[in-house]
Amino acid sequence: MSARYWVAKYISDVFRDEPRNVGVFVQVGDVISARFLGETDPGIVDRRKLKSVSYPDVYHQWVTYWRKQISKLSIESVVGANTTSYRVVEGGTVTETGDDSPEQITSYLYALLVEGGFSEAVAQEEETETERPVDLEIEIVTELKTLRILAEGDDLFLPRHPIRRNIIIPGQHYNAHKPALVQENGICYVMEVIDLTSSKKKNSRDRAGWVASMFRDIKLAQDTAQTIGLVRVTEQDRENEYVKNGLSLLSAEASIVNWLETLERQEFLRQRQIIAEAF
Amino acid sequence: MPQTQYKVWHVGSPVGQGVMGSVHIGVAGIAKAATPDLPFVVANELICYNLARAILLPIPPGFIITRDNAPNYASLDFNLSGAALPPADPEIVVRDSSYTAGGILVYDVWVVNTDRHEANLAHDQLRNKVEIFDHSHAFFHGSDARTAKDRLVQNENELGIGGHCLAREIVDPMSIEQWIRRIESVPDFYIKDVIKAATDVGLPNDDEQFCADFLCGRRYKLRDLVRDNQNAFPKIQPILGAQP
Repeated sequence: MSARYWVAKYISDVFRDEPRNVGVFVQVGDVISARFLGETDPGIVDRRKLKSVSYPDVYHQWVTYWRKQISKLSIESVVGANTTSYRVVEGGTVTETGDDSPEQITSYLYALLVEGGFSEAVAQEEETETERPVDLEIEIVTELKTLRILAEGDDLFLPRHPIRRNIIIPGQHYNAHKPALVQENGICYVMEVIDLTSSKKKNSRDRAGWVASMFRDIKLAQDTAQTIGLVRVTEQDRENEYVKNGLSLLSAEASIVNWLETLERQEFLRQRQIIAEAF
Repeated sequence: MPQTQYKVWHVGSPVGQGVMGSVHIGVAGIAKAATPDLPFVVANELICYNLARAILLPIPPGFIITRDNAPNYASLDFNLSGAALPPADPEIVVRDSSYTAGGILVYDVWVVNTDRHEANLAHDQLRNKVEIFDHSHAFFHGSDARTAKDRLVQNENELGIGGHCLAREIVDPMSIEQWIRRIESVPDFYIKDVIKAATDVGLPNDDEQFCADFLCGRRYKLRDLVRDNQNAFPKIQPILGAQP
């Protein structure tokens, strides 16, 4: 199964003509799915997330228009409605989508093409839904430091294959992913942190989806890459629909370690230690 | 007629002494030139613009510029809301701006515009402002003068608006009557001079008289054309032609 996709672009200055991606449309068979910058639900736009869009009122009218055309399954009219400020261009085809739903493919492409570029670049002052949970990351990093398998500064006594931070990993579509942790011993182990205990479950879901899409993009570029989602989730959280959704997206692309589970945590650390010190 | 804003891309130096606070500015516009398929597009746009302005329909200011040694029709990049709006929803345009919608419809009958669609009709729903643009396929339109003239002759006793996006939504017969009166009040000399000016930018001199006569004559046919084609306006109750 494959999916065609289109990208909605916003041009704030017609003379500079520097389009920014603000949405994606995905068509799988007769189903069209879409997601746009600032949407909290289909057609509902949170204007607080549109600080970088010069005229949010107009953007909102475009989202309404695009949603209406999608409801009529009319991708042609969406693509045909090109103006100096907004245009929709064909993005291409995603092949081998497996059992992924159109919504899952849309989330993946949205994270890759909209959040990975425009939104991330312009929303530095905002609390984005894909922001890394600092406290959980600190907790994990502290453990790795204690085990002396985290590369830091001028440590002379590093193991052969330490875990590193701030490493750029290329994906197939985006060439500068920066996951939380990376460990390499011929195989590239990519790790990212997701807190699903947050009260903002929808944001947690979105972050899990974004991480899943990053993992997928990296694996498309490196067959052997191993991806690990380091999550914090309680049994109560698991009953939440957003959390279920986020975990299902994530587990499709990575093995999952629940940091709250002692056995899982210890096994993860043991594996990291073995890989770090092995020849 | 509602005021419209235009995109200013440059604010320059003051004009000079004695001119209180005036500054040079650059305003963005969009230009189009004739093509082999549309040899009369510049003349056509100029005519349609002047006729729309004469009855105060909301249309962006247009004028002629020279680009690559050829005349171009330039219109100011209008700015109802700061950025380009999505294609209009005809149902909502009629619901929110019924009177203007009636004017657009009657005007398009006058200039035989078979190409009024959602994308050459801008509607800012938030501020309820409407603007029309792009008349490349109206009036004297064709790949050569013969074709363009024949098209007008063939539509002499027809509405000539094709699948007009507002026709199926329009509900207010009184607005149509009022706009017909506006068009009827446009003076002959104005129409003739507009056509004459268009011969400087591509309208064949041989067709000047025909074009002027066509527009002058069609002013007084509009009422009959609309009344005789009521099935084109399914939401209007059949009272067209009744004197208000």
